[in-house]
Amino acid sequence: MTDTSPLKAKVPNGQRAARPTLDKPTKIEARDLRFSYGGDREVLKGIDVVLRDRTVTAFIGPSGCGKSTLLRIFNRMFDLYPGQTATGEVLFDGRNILSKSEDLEELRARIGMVFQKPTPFPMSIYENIAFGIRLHEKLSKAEQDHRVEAALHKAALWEEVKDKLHQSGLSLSGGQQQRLCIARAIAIRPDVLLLDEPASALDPISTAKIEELIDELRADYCIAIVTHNMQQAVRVSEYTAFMYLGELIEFGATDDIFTHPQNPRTEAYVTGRFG
Amino acid sequence: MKTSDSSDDIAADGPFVSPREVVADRPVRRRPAGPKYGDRLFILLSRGAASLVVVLLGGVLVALALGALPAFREFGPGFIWEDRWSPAKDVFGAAAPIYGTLVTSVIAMVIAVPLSFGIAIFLTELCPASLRRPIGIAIELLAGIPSIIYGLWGFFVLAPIMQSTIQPVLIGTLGNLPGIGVLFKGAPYGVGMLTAGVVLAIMALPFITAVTRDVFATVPAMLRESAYGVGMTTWEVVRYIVIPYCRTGLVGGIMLGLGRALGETMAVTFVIGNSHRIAASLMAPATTISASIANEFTEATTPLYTASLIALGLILSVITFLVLGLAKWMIQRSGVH
Repeated sequence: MTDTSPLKAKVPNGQRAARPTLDKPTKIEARDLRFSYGGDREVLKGIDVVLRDRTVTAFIGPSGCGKSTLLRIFNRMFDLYPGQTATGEVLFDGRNILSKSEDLEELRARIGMVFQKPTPFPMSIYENIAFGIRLHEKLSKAEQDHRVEAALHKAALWEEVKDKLHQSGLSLSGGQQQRLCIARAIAIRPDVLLLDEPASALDPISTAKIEELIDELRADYCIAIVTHNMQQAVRVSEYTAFMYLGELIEFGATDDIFTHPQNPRTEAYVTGRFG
Repeated sequence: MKTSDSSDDIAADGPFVSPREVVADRPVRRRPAGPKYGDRLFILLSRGAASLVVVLLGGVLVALALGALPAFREFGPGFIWEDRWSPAKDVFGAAAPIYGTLVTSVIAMVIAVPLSFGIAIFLTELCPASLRRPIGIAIELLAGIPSIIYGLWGFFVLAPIMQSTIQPVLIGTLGNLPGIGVLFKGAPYGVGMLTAGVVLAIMALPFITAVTRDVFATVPAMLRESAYGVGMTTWEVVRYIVIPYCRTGLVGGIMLGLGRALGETMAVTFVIGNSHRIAASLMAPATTISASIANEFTEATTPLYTASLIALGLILSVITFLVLGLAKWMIQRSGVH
């Protein structure tokens, strides 16, 4: 397995992943993280992984390998479902967020999430964003307007919606709705953004816009993205984690994972031979 | 270097045989061309069943209208707003039963809607999976209790409790307030509009709850999670996401309950007090349209008396149609969801 030329062919010219910089501080660290949906079967079997600040980390792997499950532990979303349990540690700025005393509303304000499908709230475009802000901060009307506009700018949506802020969020196209959801997440000024296949329901043009957006956002946020699209992982991430059947098989700089994978299963997956 | 432990590989075991090959050696026998009488009969029968609904509805309305005609001819449209109901003098006015029907139904909705929403929210948002089924079954059983049982319970159990405890407390507290105090004045009779409203609320509760729960369950899991994901509490998710998302279905559920409350006869007849009077106090005995008909049908000795009771039935039908029509209109107007 010394010839890596078929692997390199998977990465289109000029689309090499950004080189990671190792000096960024750790934002989230999972230690021996195990998860069960209830019953004995473990869906995550002892994950150790580090997410660095202002860095994009991609999670790849075949369906059912536990990528989305892992993401949903980082903001304790699994707590909505009685019976699901996580053990081990998830350190967020050094504090274990799996502890019972964690304030979930406050945690989710600091760790935002975007889902596979756009999920605008049943309210106006403006309110979709302002609502989340009001949950966590008391702002004057002017400050709030400003914050909504800034979030929409940041999500590259302002020009498209500035004249119809008071129409329903559902009136937007799928790609616009998804950017609205990203704007909604960043409007509450989180530290971390969890993106669970954010472009899987979108057309190629909307996907490209979302990827551009992720590239912009990496300067300010710790981003974790789950994706089934390996080109996308290469394009947007600095680090990649390959997961398989609840285990973290390989973790490293995205360039290395896609061109010099250490584990044969990683290699088989990134070259499209299974999954 | 194919990894064979991928779970996708399990399916292909033996050599693949297409279904076409299996039957290839049998002669193909198609059914004969020509008219298919069985299917024609089937279509005819199902069309007949559908027409029957329209015919029945029309027939009932026509029969009611014809039966009610003498009353309207005698009293004119004033029959609807005159409140005098005097069989001895053969003078009838429908205002008191209409008022009683509307007031008891409103009381029932005021009590049942928040309770039903609370139950449905608990079932869909908070309840552990193991409790969901038992509570759901309990609600369905509540819906299955015959109304005569509610009537007996209301008269022998609820009315004495209302008379001895609840009504005196209400009169002593709310009765002293300016404005709404007038609703809670007077003597505690036990029976009356308030007691009837409470019984109706219990009867409408399972219907509203069942619809509300089903409607709440249609909220996509991802939308709920996104709402929790921006840091909303359970209350905020329910108030600002679940209820707005479901508002059409909720209106439908409320109207279903209201329809039931408006027409309910037996249980109300037991606890309403059966008095053709319009009183401001909710404690006062009153009557409803259906209770009047049920109580007085056997006593209706003059043709005008009978016609007046039938006219009451016509008015109830119209009220019920209006409620249903309003519900449909609200559902259409509120758009997509």
